[in-house]
Amino acid sequence: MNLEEKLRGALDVSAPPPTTTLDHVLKRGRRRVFAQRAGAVLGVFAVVAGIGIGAATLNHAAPDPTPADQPNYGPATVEHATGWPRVNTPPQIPYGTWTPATSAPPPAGRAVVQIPLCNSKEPLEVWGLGTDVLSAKTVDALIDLVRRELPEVTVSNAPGSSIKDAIEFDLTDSGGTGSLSISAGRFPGTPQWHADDGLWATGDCEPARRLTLANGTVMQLHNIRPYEPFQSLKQVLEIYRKDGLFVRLELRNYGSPDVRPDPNQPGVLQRTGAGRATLPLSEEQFTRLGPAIAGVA
Amino acid sequence: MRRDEEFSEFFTSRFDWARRTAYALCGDWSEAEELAQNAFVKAYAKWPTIRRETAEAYVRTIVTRAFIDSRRRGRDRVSPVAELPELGVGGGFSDPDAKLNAALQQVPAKQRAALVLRFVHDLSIEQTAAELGCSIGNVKSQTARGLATLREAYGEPVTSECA
Repeated sequence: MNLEEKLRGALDVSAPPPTTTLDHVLKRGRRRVFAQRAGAVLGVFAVVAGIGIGAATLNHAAPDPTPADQPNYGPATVEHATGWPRVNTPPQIPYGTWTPATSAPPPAGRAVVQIPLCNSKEPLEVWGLGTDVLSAKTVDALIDLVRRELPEVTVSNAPGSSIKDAIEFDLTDSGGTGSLSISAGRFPGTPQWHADDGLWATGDCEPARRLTLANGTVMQLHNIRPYEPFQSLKQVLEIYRKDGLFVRLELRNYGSPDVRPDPNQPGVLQRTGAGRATLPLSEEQFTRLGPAIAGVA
Repeated sequence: MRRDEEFSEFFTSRFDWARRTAYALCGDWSEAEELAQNAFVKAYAKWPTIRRETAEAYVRTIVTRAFIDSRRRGRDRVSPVAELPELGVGGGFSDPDAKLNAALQQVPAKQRAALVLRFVHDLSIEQTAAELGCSIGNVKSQTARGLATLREAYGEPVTSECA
């Protein structure tokens, strides 16, 4: 029997009984339909309100000309330590609010986060991510850099620093241990185009925050997203360099104490612990890493 | 309600098929269940616009693309489990299949998806390209590279229909 024929039998395997019921799917499906209809109605209201507000605004006098003695007057285009502006585009309409699955709820006493859910939009261009484009020297430099930029946080051994797909390490403070995962790839075209292409890829409702550096690097900070199990939290910072290097930083609320190697699948980790209640870095701390990593990667 | 009746019939007959398809892709039953469930929820929302004869392909496309997306976003390194099982999770591939499954999991996600659609579901190159949302040339190269990786991971000299 050749390899292709072996593959043809891959569906005919013994399987555990399914846990999904028709009722559950119908219930979720109806919620989704309701959210889509509500979104359409709200969208119409938003357009009407937008036209009204726009008309009212346009009736006012034109803005003041740029003062000659204030060359930085106007929208921020230079780097700030915090407060990256949101991308100027309308938000998505939420279809619901985060609810943890009953099979893997957050630990007792941990409040359920109130985060609206929106549909993620798959980018048109997709490329592979890994650590191939980061040299070993750069890996060391990255870890040193994170230690230097975040002296208030303990940076230690990774949940999977040897994994080929990403460089990962723990970030610990008094609130517990979380982790940071860094992966990279190469993209064709311009940073701006790809940042726009990936704007809704993580399922944000509000547009991401974005900063464009003078050298053409675009950095995009997505909003915090909850996911299963145990109400896990993550936040993604994307760096698009003008030379085509893409670096993806994923901040997580769990670290190496919360995973263990899967005995059945070498190189794969199983999630066992809930992790900390919040992400290990504030947005200010996380965005501090962006320009620094863009410089060394 | 007619919508619910038709959808219920479709769910009853095809959920396990979708779950097995997802398992062939991800190699993890809990993730496969989640992928299949999400695909059926999306199918329910679009049900009035889906033709019955294309519903299977619709669900399979959602499952495949959701799987590739999850891998691209880094989920492949962490498989969520609600609680630790006391024993190994049962119901996996039987022994002869375990080796093939383990080898399949060594194949990169998009190549794996191309292999599953081409050989497990016996789709043509054109149909595979449509489900993956890529070009025919891309399917050919992904399939060839996927087979090469699979053959290497399988570790035994096996004959193959494709070079």
